[in-house]
Amino acid sequence: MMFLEDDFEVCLSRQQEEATTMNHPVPDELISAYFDGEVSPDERGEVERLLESSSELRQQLDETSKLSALLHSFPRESAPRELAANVQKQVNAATQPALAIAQATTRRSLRREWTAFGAGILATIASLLMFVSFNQSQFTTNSPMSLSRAAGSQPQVTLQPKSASEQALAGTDPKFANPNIATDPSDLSDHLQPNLGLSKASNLARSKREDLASPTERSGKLNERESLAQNPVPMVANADLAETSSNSIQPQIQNEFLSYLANGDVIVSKVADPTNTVAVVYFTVVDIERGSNELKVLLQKRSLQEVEVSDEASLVKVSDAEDRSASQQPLSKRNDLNKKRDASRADEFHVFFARAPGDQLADTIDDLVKNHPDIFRNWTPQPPIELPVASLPSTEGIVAENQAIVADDNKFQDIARRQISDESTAVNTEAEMAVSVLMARNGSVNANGNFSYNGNSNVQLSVSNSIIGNTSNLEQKTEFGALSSASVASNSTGTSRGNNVNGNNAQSSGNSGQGYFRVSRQNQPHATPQQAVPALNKGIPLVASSTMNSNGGGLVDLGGGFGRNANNDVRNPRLVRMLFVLKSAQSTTNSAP
Amino acid sequence: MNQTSDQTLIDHCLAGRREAFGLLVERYQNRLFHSLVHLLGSTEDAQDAAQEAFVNAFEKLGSFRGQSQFYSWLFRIAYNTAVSSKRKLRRMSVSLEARRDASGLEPSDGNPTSEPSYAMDVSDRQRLVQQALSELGEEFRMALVLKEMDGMSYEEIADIVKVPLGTVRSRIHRARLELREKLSVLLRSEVL
Repeated sequence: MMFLEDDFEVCLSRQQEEATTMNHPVPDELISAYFDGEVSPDERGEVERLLESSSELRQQLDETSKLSALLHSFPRESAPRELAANVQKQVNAATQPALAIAQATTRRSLRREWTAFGAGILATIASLLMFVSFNQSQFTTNSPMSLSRAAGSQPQVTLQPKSASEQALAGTDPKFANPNIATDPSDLSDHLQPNLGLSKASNLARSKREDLASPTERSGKLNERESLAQNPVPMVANADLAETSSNSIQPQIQNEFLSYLANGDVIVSKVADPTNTVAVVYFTVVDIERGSNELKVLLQKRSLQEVEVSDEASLVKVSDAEDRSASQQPLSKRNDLNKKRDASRADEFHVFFARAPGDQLADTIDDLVKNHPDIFRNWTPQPPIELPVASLPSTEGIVAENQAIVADDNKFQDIARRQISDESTAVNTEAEMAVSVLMARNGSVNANGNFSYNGNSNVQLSVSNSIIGNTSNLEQKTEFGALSSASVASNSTGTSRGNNVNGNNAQSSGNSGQGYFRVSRQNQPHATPQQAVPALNKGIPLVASSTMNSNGGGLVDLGGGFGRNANNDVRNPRLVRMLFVLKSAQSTTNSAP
Repeated sequence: MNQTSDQTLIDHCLAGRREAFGLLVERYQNRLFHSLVHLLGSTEDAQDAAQEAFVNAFEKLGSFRGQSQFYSWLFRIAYNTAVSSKRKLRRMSVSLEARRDASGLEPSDGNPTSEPSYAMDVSDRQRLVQQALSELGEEFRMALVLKEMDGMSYEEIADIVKVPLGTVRSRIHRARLELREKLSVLLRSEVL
């Protein structure tokens, strides 16, 4: 009897289950969609209710799950390396005008029209503000930085270019000259690929785009030109306005830059080729001394090699001299001296050179900005500096040597000790060259169209080095031919010539074991290219052959695909050179007319 | 760390910065290639299709209106490229020798049940699955590959294939049914 009751219950249960399924037919595809999470809430409720009572449905779901697991057991297929390279070649071969035309004819969505309209309005407002502010104060500065700013702002403010090469330079330099200079978003986007800088070709493309721009955009540009036509003198955009207009894209550029740094394989093609280039980052700091200290602490905490370059020494020297004489001057003279000293301090800048793994540099930047927002107001990646490959002692030679002795354990220790010394020399040499090019980049184009240092300031470097983390402390005196060739675009082929001008005195200034390059920027008589002297006492020619802008605005071709790692340094394949340039926020503001 | 959005990169491209397109290539080449391999059944065909798709996308970038995801748009181009090239989107009922050439995989007799499941290693299972996939009808294979291999939503698939959402659901279900039938022995084995 008991058996019959149990049997009856089982039969009843099965009948109920079947009845449920029949009364609520669930399409099989609903189970599939349920598995994918692609059902409505109502459908989900129904499927789940039926799954509780139907073993058949549960089995169906289980098989779907197993099948999915089976399909996911495939390893992810990675694209062959040549895919990106092949695309790169074909894209480079594609004609940009077609793209521009496509842009002009097809990008007509309402959102973009509004964007264009907004950009036109912004440009108009910016030009009007510049016009007004310029009339209020005369543009007077002898600082090469300021002059460079003025030159750099030319393409945007559409001043009359003096020469083709100057125009090219002007298109390249503004990001270095002042990271806060107002530029349109597409211009600011140049930081996205600092390795490229701005090529002449891309400038041409931009001018073509302007020609093809929508009526709204064109009207904005016309207003800008009309406004500026009345002021045929160099001008600098208001920094605050610049920050406002660039706010939308700046974080993206910064994130992208840090991402490149962190991904060592990508940095090679996107930020800097570690074999011969130096990434440059500009920081606008409220307090330059505190900013420098924080940066130094961070670099030292990470045991990163660094060399500091600053103009602190000269400023102190100037100030001391003025202080001594000030007491003998009448009050009005003293006030003038104080103003002059303040202006000098405003021009103060500190440069740190570091050679370290890209991810650590990225972390350093990230830490600086996030942990010290009160000091670091803004930062902007700049077009990198390209060093003359043949003059670099740090990569091929050492690598070849390492490769030769790597199997010989007995020689390894000796070589390693020697390498520390080599490292010190290499870092300092690279720092010297990088700073030289950096300073030269602040110059202007001479009458011959060649890039040369402006010469209104003299640069004196005194060198004593100590490499953080190394036991050897290398002392050296360097006559720093301040201003070398700049590998900034001075012609369309990407080969730029530069002249070493303005030989400088060097003096050793060991400072409690901590070495500095000290850059003084006293006003000196204008130097001419004919005064050129060898840049470094090591006989390193600083006539760089630049490829910074050599690819005509196309994808960077460093001989490989997008992600090719061209770093030859077997010790650390992700080693990146970088200049941290700390510029006073006060100077940025003061520089604006 | 936030990535630069696709739209920003596209805007840079349209502004003349071709290198921004390089970022898009880097961003999507693996995903696209992976899906195309399983769709076309051959790494060589997948590479060709992906390459053509990227170049075509660059040339047509001005026509991208941002109404769909860039990748969806890119995949659509790749799909059309493959179709226009008459690649093996049709049912791949080809000879065993041709299968070996196309996929680089060893051919089998087409009947998974004849395979000794106990001896199956990973590559064997992959071969069987790839073969079963290749025998699905084009529309079913595409829907399933986009869902399973690419992780797309039904809506994204519908956008690419230009069919209603319900059709996508139906195709994926049918593809699964057919695959489950073809791979029944494998699915019931202890290997999984």
